[in-house]
Amino acid sequence: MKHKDTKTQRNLFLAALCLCVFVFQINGCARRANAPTQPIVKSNRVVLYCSVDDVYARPIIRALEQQTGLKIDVLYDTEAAKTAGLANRIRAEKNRPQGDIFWSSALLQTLLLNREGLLQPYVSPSAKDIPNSLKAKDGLWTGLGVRARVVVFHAGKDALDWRKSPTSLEKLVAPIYAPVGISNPQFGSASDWAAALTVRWGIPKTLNFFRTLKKNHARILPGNSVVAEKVARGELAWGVTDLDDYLAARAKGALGLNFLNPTPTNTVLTPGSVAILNRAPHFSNARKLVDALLRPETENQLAKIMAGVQPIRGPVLPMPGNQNIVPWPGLPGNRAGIPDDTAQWSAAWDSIREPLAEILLKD
Amino acid sequence: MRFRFSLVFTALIIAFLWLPFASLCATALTSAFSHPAQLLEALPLRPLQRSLFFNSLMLSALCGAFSLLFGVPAGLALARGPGRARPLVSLLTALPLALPPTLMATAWLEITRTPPARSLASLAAEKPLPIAPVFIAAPILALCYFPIASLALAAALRALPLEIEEAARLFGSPRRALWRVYLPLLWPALAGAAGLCGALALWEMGAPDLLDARTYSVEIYRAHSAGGEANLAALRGLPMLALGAFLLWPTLGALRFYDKAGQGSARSETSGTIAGCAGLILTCALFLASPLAPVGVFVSQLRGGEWRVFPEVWRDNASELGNTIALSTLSAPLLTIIALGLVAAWKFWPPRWRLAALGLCALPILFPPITLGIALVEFFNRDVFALIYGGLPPSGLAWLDWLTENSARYSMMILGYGARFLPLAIVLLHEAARRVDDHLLEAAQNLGASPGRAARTILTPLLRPALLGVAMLLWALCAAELTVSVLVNQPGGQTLPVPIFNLMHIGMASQVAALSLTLFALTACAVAGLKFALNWKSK
Repeated sequence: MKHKDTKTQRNLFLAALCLCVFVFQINGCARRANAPTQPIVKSNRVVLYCSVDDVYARPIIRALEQQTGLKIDVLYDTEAAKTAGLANRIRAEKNRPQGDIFWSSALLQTLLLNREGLLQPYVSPSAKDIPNSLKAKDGLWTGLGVRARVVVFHAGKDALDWRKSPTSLEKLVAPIYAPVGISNPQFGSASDWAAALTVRWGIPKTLNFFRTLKKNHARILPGNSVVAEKVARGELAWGVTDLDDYLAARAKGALGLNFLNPTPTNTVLTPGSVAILNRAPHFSNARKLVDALLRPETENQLAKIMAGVQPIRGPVLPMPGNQNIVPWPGLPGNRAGIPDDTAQWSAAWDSIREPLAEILLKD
Repeated sequence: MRFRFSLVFTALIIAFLWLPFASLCATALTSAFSHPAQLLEALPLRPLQRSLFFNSLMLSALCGAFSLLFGVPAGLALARGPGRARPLVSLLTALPLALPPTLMATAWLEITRTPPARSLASLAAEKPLPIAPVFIAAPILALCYFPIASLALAAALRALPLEIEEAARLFGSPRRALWRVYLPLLWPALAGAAGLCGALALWEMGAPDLLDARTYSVEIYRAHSAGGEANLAALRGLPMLALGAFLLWPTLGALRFYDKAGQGSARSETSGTIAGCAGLILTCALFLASPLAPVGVFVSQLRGGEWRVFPEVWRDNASELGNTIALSTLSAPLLTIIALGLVAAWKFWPPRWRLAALGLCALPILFPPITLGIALVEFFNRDVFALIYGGLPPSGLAWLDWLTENSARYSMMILGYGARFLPLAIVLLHEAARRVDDHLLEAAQNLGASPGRAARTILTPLLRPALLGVAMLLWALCAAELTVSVLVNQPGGQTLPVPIFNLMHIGMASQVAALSLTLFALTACAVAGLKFALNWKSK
């Protein structure tokens, strides 16, 4: 009898468990089917997909949590897959998005997501004073901070004579400067750089540039910071990286870094970007966070934490301990000559993406 | 009825272990037959694929060889060293297991930044050799995995009968005894250990990525993250499946060796041999390389008042730290209980059915972790699994939203750990359960106990040390897991290895050091628990 009771209890337990799971599934399906575009949310949760380096983003996110009262769940990506990895995740989740906001350290992937209809418009009052060239008209994306792509070289005792330095970016492919270090142009700000060059130089010249670099044993490294460090240590003589990574490597006492005087043609300014994802599950919280993110104070805080990133609005911040940097064209008040071509980056990327991948895959 | 219940339970577990990966592979192969050019991704015909195959093979082979080189002295010391020194050797051998390969690679990258190493690196940079990073990565990984070789050798030596040892002495010459007696007998165990270390190196993603060694795992991860299709990732992972099977084949021979070998009678009588003492000295020297050197490197990053970075780092990474502890604490017992349930159920199955079930549950060990991670994401990213993967819109009910949010936050990580480590737990517990006399369970059944009651009251108490050991091992493995975690982690659910991996690429030395020491401390506690369990078992 006791045996049968145990058996009955077990069966009842299993049945109850199955029923709970079934109810949750039905509940989930029903909520998805009937979910309004902007559901009524009582939760203070917001999900942020962030490709800004987490060491810089965390203090800002912590401050924003305190300011807004929101609980921000962040998903960072790894340095090797930056931005592209998160963007692909957004694409994979498009039918059932988990994320609310995409905060990118670059712009190209945001533009691509926009083209695919994966963003939703929101014109934030905090973005009023951002130049039109650095935000979408309908608020689908907004720029946040800008940094420059720089050429760096090792200035140690075994460095090249200054007189032999390349006078333009195109001349960097000469064998005398090999091996050059670049971060993988399929990821992060390097892909923005490749797209911008395509717009300015054209497809054949851009592909030839990367082809010649690869032919001259260019080191395709997993991140801009790795490029900066290897040049600082003298493992590479030349490299192309971001200004913030150059300053980070210099700040650690790697005195070998320096960079060429930039020209408007070879200067690529990569803005960071903020966008709300289409069908974001916590839309009203997302708007609140975007308003907080795009405030000038937040941008200045980012520029202070992440040396090399300049605010889009407001005065140019002084560079830490570097007297060799000339006023950088393209910064606020000094944009003359910098092509305003971000709108063409996504089309340019489409045309070079696969040939570039082929070039990089060759050994 | 009970047999049917155990059958259904086993089928569910096998389905969980096989379906995601098999589904991805089936889709990939179907797509490849429609587009034959994709098949080239799987075959080492093009230069890149040849390079990946060669690098992966070299890394595995060298890692296996180095693991033997480092592990044999420790194994000798464990089995033949002075009796009083054996607890010390046991501890010195166990500690490297607590150091994840990513941390080891991080530490050695810092060491290579010292001036003498830097000039060597500059020379190498002028004419970069495509295989140089592999030659660097192999010994670094071997410093993490060599305890496997030492434990395998120690167990094999202890299993040798006394008569064999005495017969070997008749040769007169130790070298002849080694070649004629010991090596042929111990070879299966050594080959199995080397194969297992090689397979672990093949599957590792974090350390080769940091060391710039282009292996299959690294390339699949980077290509997939750049927007590559999951199908292509699966095709690229097929050679890893073949290589893994090739490397693990000797392990089957090793398991058969241990099966046939008895308890051995040579343990106490032949302690304190010359070989054992030499092994002890070498083991102490090896301890300097692993884990003392990496820990020393991390500590050196914190000199001069940088110790205050600990509270900052813990505060900044509180979520990841909490997730690591919570997920490991939740997953390790859960997976152990599931493995116990299966193993206990199989005790009452016919032998062929048992073997088939074990085989189906153990074979997923061969699945490359990087492909497994991609497969899990592809499989569970569907509406029907929204409760697990996430993406349910808020309901407005606080308790329900809390439940669904936390479920989405942690479920995929637990499933990832399960897919990765449940086969290992099943194999280990099955080996332990095989040593329990079946007659005990039969006697209990004859006295009227149900199979479940017999398993609960007889089998489980006998397996207690094994259960604790497996749980501790799983805890350490889950806490340090990176390859699958980096793919399946959900917002708010990231664990500690991911920010360490990121910070290492950015180059934040003191933060990396603090987080690395924290992770090492956590896994070292788990390994200490494992040692306690093994000692408990031996008593």
